Amino acid sequence: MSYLAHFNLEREPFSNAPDARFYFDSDQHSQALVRLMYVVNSNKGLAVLVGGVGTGKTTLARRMLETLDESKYESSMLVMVHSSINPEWILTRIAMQLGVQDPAADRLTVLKQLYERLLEIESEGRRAVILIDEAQMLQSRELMEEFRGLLNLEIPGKKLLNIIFFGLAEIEDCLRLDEPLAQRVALKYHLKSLSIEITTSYIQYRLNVAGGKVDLFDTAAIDAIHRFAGGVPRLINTICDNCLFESFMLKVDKIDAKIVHSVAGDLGLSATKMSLEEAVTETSDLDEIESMLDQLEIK
Amino acid sequence: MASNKDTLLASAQKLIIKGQTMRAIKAYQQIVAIDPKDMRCRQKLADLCSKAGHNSDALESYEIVAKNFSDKGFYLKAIAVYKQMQRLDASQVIIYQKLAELNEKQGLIANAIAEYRVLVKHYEQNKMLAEAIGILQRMKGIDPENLNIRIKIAELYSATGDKKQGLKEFDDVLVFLREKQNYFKIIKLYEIFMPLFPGEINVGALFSEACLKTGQFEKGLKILKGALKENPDDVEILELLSDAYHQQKDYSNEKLTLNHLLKKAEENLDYRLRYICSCFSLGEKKRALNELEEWKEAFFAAQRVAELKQLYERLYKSLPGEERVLRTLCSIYELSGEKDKLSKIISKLPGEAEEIQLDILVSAPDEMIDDSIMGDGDDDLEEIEIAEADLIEELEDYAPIELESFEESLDELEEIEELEEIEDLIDLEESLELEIELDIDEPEDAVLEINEDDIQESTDEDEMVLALEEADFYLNQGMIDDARRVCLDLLGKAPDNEKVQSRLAEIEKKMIEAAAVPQEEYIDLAAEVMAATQEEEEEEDFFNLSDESLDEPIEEEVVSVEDAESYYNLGIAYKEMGLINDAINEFDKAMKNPTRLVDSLGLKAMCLAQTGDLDGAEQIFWAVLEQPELGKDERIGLQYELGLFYENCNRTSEAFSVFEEVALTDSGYRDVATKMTTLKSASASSASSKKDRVSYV
Repeated sequence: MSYLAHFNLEREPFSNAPDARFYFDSDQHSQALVRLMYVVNSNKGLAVLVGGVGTGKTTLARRMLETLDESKYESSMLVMVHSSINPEWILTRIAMQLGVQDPAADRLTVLKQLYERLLEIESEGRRAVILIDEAQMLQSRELMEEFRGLLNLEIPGKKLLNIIFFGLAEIEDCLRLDEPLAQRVALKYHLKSLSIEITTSYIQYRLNVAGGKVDLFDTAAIDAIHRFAGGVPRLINTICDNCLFESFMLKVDKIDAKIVHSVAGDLGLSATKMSLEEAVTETSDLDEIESMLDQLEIK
Repeated sequence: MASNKDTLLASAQKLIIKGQTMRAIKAYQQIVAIDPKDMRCRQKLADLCSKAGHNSDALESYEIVAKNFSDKGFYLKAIAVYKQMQRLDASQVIIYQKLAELNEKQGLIANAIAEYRVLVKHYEQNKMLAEAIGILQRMKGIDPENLNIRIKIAELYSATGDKKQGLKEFDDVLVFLREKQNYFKIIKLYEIFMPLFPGEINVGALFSEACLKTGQFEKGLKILKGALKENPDDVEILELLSDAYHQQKDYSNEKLTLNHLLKKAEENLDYRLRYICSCFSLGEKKRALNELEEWKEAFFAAQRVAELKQLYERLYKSLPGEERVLRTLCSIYELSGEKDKLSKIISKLPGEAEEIQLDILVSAPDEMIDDSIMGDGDDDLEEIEIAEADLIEELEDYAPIELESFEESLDELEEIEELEEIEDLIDLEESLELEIELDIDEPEDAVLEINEDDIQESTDEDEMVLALEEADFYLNQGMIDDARRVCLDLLGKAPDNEKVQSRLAEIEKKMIEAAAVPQEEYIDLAAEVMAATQEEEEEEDFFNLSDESLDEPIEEEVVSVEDAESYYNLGIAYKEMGLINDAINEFDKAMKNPTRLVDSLGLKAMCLAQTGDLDGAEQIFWAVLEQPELGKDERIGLQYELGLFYENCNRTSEAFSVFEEVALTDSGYRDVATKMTTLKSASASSASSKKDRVSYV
């Protein structure tokens, strides 16, 4: 018997794997999505979403991709998994993702092919959108210049391609590699950690989607989770998931602060509680959280 | 040449796909230069110019296309092109004119009127009243029953100072309304025209008649009195006045008015009859009898026996012993061949009964004698009542026009008589006493002699009474000078007559009172009408001369099959031209005829979808599909369209479900099978399509 059966849950409520069903439309995520859609719908060209580790950037990027109706948008998301790619490679991938059949080997021909494809999309009355997740990995000037070039593909009075970067704060450094590109950022939005109220709603929402009772965690437990996770959604998920497992092992039906403290101790979070709180308030300095999450993943 | 054109065309189309509008325009310009008759290319050129904002070039090309369509008789296509031009430049008057003319040619009256309206407004605003009238005359030609147009014409004539033409329009409308007996609108018409043509409109008989017919008795009377003062001998006004008094049950004034009328038309038996009825209504039965006796020969001569009979039978009821009544009734029954009744009346006549009875016995069949002479006298009244019912039918043959009022008079008389039952009984007793006195105490000759004197005295007295009544009539209508004149005449003939002296004193008192009032009561009829109008502003407006009313679109309740077809085709033309809202308007009109209801709704839904109103489109589709009376072919056609709609909206599963329903009814319907296959595979791949959109680099 798993804890799912113990708590009458249909699925894991606090998995960190991407799952659209668990998309929690918090006020700031909703605001971010509205703004990013505005950039696309008004063909502004380039927008950037900055957020700390685990704040929901990827979730938001996938949510946006779902929102982009294929009848109105030719859209695609590129997830950067390493930083050693070259401009030709990314150009070819973008061209393919936007529907260029058999992209040529040389860069100029691919550019021509992409331009014609963009014209075709435009004549269909649709908009071309590329979402780049983990954009902080685009760490070379050449790459930034390539994106600038792509943003220059336009017809009179209208840009043919919109690009949205999703990344950690380091993306600012990447943009600075090519100042003209930095100047082209039409919108920048920062995701912050969740407040105690939003954390409560977040936990209850996920429990509800999983088919369970929304009050499995008492108020003191949620308060403790918020403090230990620093309002970071991914960390909240990890703590909550462990709490459910621990409660199942203890054969209890409700999670209280004692269980949360126990789990946080096991995760090595108790000693770093205060420093964590301080860390999450400083959105520019998230190294500590990241290393903590890395440690958790290792465990 | 042809290949050059084809090359240019291919190039132009490619340029359009690439969004290079300016270059595409140049290509199309070259094409139309090569082949000026290619209207499709010219229209495409116009579309591109319009898209690029080169409106003057677009208008120039569109005009050539529209004129070409128009010349070839393709009016609907021409209308659609002109409409496109109107969208580009709404200030061009000529376009409205063209659209109006084309709609007129196509028989689309409402559309034509709508375009003409804009022209009228434009000309009015620019003080081009003659042009505005010209357009209105055209509008009148195509919609002659539209009174708003005619009123507007009169209004503009008034503004141009051409009162003659304006009044002619007024008279025309008046005649039209009178034919329709639309008295409410007649009143409204007067109210509109009075201020337009001050002092020119004769507020008289018709206006007051309209007031009376619409139940506005007081207002009608007021107007009539004023009108009478200006035209004291106007018979029509006097007739209406007597009607008004009658309707208000003011029998005294009714009688005075009829008396006045009889002075002008002594032989008029209608007036006489109504006068006698008013005497009845006032309980003056003796007077009624005197009148009847004096004029009965004229009624006999005019074959108006039925009316006489009814009145005499009434008199018989109230004056049963009156010999003159009995004798005249004998004559009436002889003429009408009602021998039963005749016998009964004869039996009541003193002296002559036996002699007359013998005559009847000789001529009448046996059974008739038994029924009449031996019958019970108590049945008389009942039989007479039955006879009254028969009379109504008979009267229809004699005087169909007056029948209604005569019947009303008789009904009212009955009511009055019931109320005066006691008085009648007293009269009856007096009459019987008189008869007994005459029969027993005095010889027959003496009776005759006394009667002659009585008649002479009665005649003088009657004349005096009539003359005083004439004075009363004038007095009651506010015509004090005339009343005084009549009295003074009478005083000249009978200086010592106390009644006359008294009446004169009364009149002079009224004159003094009237002099104290600064203005005469009925001096300004127009003001009277206008004042009355202001008091009744809350009433419904039938006419409204404001621009707003003329701008209101004509709502056709029912559209003929031909018109529906035209509207439908025009809608399609508009839709093809991209004039979606105009197309929706036309489909709305077309669907007012059931023959095009479903088609129009389907196309309207598609238009709504094009405008982005997807919810509206979907609602229309379902609203129509829910109609149980929808035919099989119509239903399947509409379901197919709904399927396409869902497909275009990327609502794959709904599209599949609707196509599935179509296939259940007819699996071979159009390309429904292919649609289902395509949608099924699209649905299957939709789950993976999201994944494909994400790439890891």
